[in-house]
Amino acid sequence: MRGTPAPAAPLRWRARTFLLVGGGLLAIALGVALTQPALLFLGLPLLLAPLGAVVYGAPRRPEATLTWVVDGSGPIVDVEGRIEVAPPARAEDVEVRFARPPALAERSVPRVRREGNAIGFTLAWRADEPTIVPVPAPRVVWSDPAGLLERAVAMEVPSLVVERYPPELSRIGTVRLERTIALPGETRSRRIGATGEFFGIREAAPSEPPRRVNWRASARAGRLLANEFQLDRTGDVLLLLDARPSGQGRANDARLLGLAAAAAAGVADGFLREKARVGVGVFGEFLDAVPLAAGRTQRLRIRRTLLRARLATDAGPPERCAVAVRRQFPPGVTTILFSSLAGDEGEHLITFLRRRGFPVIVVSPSPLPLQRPDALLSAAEEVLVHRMARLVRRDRLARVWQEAPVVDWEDYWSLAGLVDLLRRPGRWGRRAG
Amino acid sequence: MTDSRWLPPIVRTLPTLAALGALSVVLASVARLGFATGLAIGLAGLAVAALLSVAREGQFRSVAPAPLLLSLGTLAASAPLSALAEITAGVAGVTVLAWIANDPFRPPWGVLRGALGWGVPGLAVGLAWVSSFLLPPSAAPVGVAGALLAATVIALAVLFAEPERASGGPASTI
Repeated sequence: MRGTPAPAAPLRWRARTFLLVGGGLLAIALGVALTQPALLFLGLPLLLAPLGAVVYGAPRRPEATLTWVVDGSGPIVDVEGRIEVAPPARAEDVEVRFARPPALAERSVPRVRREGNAIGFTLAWRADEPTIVPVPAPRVVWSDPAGLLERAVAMEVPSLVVERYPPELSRIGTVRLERTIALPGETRSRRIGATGEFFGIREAAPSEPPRRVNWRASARAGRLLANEFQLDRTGDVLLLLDARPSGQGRANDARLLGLAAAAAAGVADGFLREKARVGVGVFGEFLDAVPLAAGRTQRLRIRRTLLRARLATDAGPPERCAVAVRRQFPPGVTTILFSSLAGDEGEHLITFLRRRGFPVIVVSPSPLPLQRPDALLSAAEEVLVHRMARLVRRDRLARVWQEAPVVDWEDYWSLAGLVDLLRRPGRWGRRAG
Repeated sequence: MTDSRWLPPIVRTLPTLAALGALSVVLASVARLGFATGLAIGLAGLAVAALLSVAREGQFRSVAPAPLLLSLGTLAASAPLSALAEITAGVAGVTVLAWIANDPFRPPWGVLRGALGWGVPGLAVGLAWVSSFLLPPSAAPVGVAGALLAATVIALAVLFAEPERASGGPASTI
């Protein structure tokens, strides 16, 4: 049974109506003042235009249903959608206005198709760097043909999120994580998967990678068969985002945080797919944490936390972060810290986390690709400035390496360095504690 | 919003633009500004309005009628007292409404779907023109015209204050 319907959106006159009525009134006033009947005749229909819009008749409660999906891969983002307009409103009278997330660029203008009483649309965007961003709901309004009156169409909008992260992260889940506790909650220790000990043969799915297909068995059976493996999944991982401002300026800091959130979403996705437990912390002034857990619900929790991650106005002290992390997470859990390391605070945070017993791996999105040429500098000076910035960063990373292994993330579409580092536990550097 | 229509946006407005161009030519030919000046004013207003109406930004499209109204107003203000000038100005006002309904970024045939939007003002213009020229001159038509104008202004004031009165939908009784 449906509850009480929400009140209908109010009817509103558009700016064009005021332009026409104002023009009409002005023409009539001038016509009277100048005793010029032609102006009266010109002004009369303009003055009556709103009456025409009223006579056309606005539906009391226009409603529509939206279905949409994100398609494409890598930097290509295609949003396909369909808006079903419920009678008595007609699709011809419905206008759709799209908003583009700021992190995405437009590849081509939105394409809109009208099919009966439905409106299909395709939005072609491009992600220039990894991102996780919600797609704003399109604004759907009913309007008369002349566009003088409008009323918002009531519509339930399913949430849609664009997630683009480096492709290497899709196989990060195969990395064996350190066990944090002997019996990590509801996480099953053994399951069937893509790697591990041979378990059996099953029908191959259409999307099966060739190396998983058992070609000999397939040749004997006359149909594609794939190998199954029994694997152990016992690890936990904590993803910690440094959302404090650095000296790079708010715009660059926000972009670096966006990159970190996208990478964290990719890492979490990869490990959760393999039933590992994943926790997330976003530290700005205080810690916003999602405790360790596994499963689809945890994926949603993590996504929600990453979507609301914003650059903090004031930077919290690093010790506060370490203390808060220790309260929320068990020591010893593999900790991946996403920090640009643009300021000294990032280094201090690593020290405090290690002291509290968290083995840290640092993924540092480099601010160097975000640097824009300065108009006051010549080309030679620009090159010099860039070299100096690179040297300063290299020096900083070298100092951080004394505390924890660092992945210098400069090519934003590749995190192969992180996957390699996690695959070779011997390279993790110093242990915590 | 963009439609995947096979015609470019400006082409779809050509019929109403052509009608407005023809009316501008007629007004320019009777205006006291001189034909060349009047024609230049009329066509300039038309061209600017046409370009604004196909702009991608919505705020430009919403003010597209302004240059057209300005040029038509200038021509009408300089027109002599004649039945031709008056009916041409009236028809031009109605055609402006038809051109607005022919929005190139909305489904085609808006000018037909929105016929009520320009038909009702067109009827009023026709009645006013016929009554001013065919009825015998007396004080009565002036009173009727004044009353009609006052009623229009009151109706507009009510509608602007409460647009919900314009709302349709199913009847409350069966």
